[in-house]
Amino acid sequence: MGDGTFGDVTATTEGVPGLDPSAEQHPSTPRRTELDEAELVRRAQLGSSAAFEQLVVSRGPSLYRYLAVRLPGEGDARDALQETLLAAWQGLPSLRTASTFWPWLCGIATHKAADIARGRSHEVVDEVEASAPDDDELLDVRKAVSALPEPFRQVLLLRHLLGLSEVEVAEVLGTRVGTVKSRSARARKALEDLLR
Amino acid sequence: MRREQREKQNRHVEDALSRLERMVPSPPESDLRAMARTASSRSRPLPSPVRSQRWPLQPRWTGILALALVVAIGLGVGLGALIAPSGTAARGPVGLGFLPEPGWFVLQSRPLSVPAQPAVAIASNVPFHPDDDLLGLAESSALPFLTLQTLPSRGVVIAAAFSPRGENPIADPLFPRRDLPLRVRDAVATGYGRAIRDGEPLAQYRLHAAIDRHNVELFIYYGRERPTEAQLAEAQRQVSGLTVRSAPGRAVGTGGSQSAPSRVIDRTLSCAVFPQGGVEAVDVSARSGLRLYTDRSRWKYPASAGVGDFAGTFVSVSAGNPVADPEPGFPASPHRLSIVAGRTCTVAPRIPLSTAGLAGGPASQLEDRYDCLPGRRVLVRVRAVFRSATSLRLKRYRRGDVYHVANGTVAEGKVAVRSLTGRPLAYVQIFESGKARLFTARGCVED
Repeated sequence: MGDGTFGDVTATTEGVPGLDPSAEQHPSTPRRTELDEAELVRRAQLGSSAAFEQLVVSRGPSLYRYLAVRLPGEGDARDALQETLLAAWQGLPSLRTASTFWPWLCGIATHKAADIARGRSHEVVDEVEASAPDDDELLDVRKAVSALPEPFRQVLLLRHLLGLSEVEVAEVLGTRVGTVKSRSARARKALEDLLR
Repeated sequence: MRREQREKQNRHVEDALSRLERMVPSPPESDLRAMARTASSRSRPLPSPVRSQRWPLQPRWTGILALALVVAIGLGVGLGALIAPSGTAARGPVGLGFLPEPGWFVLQSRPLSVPAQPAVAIASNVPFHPDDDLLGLAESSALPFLTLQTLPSRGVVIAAAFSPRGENPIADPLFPRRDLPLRVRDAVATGYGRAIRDGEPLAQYRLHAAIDRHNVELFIYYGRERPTEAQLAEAQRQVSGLTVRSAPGRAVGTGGSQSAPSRVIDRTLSCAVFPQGGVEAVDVSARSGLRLYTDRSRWKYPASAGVGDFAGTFVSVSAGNPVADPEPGFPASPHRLSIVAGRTCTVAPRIPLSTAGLAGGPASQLEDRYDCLPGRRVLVRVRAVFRSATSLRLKRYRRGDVYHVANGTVAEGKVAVRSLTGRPLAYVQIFESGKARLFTARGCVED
C-alpha cells in the first residue's frame, strides 16, 4: 500500500475477472487468496466494474435477505437491491473511506427499502402471506418482525441480519448510539413477546 | 435470575432471526452478477465543477418569489420564453460526455490532467468488448475496435471526441456551430466502416460541431451497411444525451497549459504500443550517472530512466543537475521529466511502484536496455521528487511530438511498467547521487 497506491496488483488480483495474472506470475511472488474489500472498493471507485461485481457477489446475499425480510414481496426486494446497487455505483466515487463501504451500502439499502415500503404499505399483509414459505414457525417469525414498530424493526434487522455495530446502525439511521441501544433492547423484548 | 431470563430471551430472539435469515433464499450468483453489471453499465454522473450553494433566501422570500413567478407566467410574461425554441441557454449537467440512457453502455475518459489530448466518451447499445473497456474508461483513440468488429446488426456505437476550440486553429473552421441536441440525420456517411469490417461492412457516419468552447467530433457506427429507422431513432436517443458544457472559467476535460507547482509529480498512463514487425514491444532503459573525470562535482550523464516503444518515448526522467558536458551534436535537454502527451495515451489508475515479481539490480553507466512484451497497451507510471516545486508544461517539438515537461533537480525518480492485466514488467529507480537500479520480468529480453 506504499505510495498511496492500491497495492501490489500481482499479489492481489486473483479471482478478479480480467485482472488475474496468475498464469504468468513469478513463482516467488506471494499470493493472497482474495482481494480485501477495501481494495475492491477502491478499484470500483476508479471505475472497475469487475471489482464492483465482486463486491456485489460477496455482499449481495446478505443485503438481499435483509431486503426480503424488510419488504413484503420478493419482487420488491429485488427492485430494492437493484436500486441500491445503482445508487451505490453512482455514489461510490464520493465514498471517502473504503472501510466504511458496508455500513454505507446498508444505509442506501435501508433508504431504498423505506422508499418502496412507503409506496406499498397497504399491500403488506397480503404479500407477506403470499410470499412466505410454508414453514409455520418461520411465518410466525416473519409476521412478528413485520409487526414490530418501524424504528425497532430497522435496528433489529440492521444489527442481526446485516451485522452492523451499534455505532454503524446509529450512523445509518442518523440517530444517537444510545437510542440504538435502547431501541435494540426494546425490539428484542417486543419480538420475544410476539413470538411467545 | 433476571439476568438469566434476559439471556434466555436474547437467545430465543437470535435463534428466531438466524432461522429467518437461513430460510430466506438469496438470489443465485448469476443474478447478482447481472444486477451488478446493470448498475455499473450506467455512467457515473459527470462531476460538478462547483459545490452547489445553499439557497440563500428565507422561506418567506422564496414563497413571495414563487408567487411572483406564477403571476408573471399568468400574465404571459414568461410564455414567449417557454414556447420559443432554445438550444443554448438550457441549464443542465456540466461536463463532456453522454448522460446514461437505459439499455446503453457508456465509457468515459477520465478528466485529463494533461492538455493536447481530446476527452473521449463512447456509448454503445451492446456491451463493450472487454479489451476495449479499460477499467470503465474509454481509450483516447475513441475507437472501440473489437466492439466494432463484433458489432451485431442491431448494434449502434457512438464515439465522441472533445477538443478545446482554439487549440488547433486550422481545424476550427471544420466544426460549424451547432446547438444541442445534435441531430443524427445531420451526420454524413463515410466509407471507413468497410475498413473496420470488410466482410460485413459497418455504416459509419460523422458529425462535426462546435458547441460551447469545444469542437466535437461524433462518429456513429451501425452494425449493418444501412441503418434502419429504429437504429436511427435509438442513436438519436443517446445523441440527445450528449453533454457539452464547460465549467465556468476553464474547459472541462482538459487541464491548463501548465500544472500547479508541486515537488512531486506522479502520473500513470495507459498507452497503445506501436507494433514493430507485428510485435508490440516496449523498451525500458536505465543508466547510472557518470561524473566528469576532470570535475567530480559535475555530471557528464545524470542517472536516467526511460520507457518507450518503436514510435517514441512515453516517459523519461533524469536525476541530478546540472549536466556539464553534453555530447557534441546532442545538446543536453534541460527537461528532467518528460511525459508523452500527443499519442494514444490516456490517464490511468495508479500502478504500484514495486519490484515484486521482478529481478535486477544496479544499472550500468553505459545504459541497460530491455525489451518487454506487454500486449497492445502498456501501463506506465512515473514519479519524480524534485528539490523544489515545479510544474509540468506542454512542449511541442518540431517533428510533431507533444510532451509535458518539467525542469528542476530531481532528487529521486521511479518508473513502473505493467501490462494491462497488472503483470509487472519493469521497475526503475534513479537517484540524485547517480545510482540507478533496473528490475525486469523474466520475459523481458536484454537489448
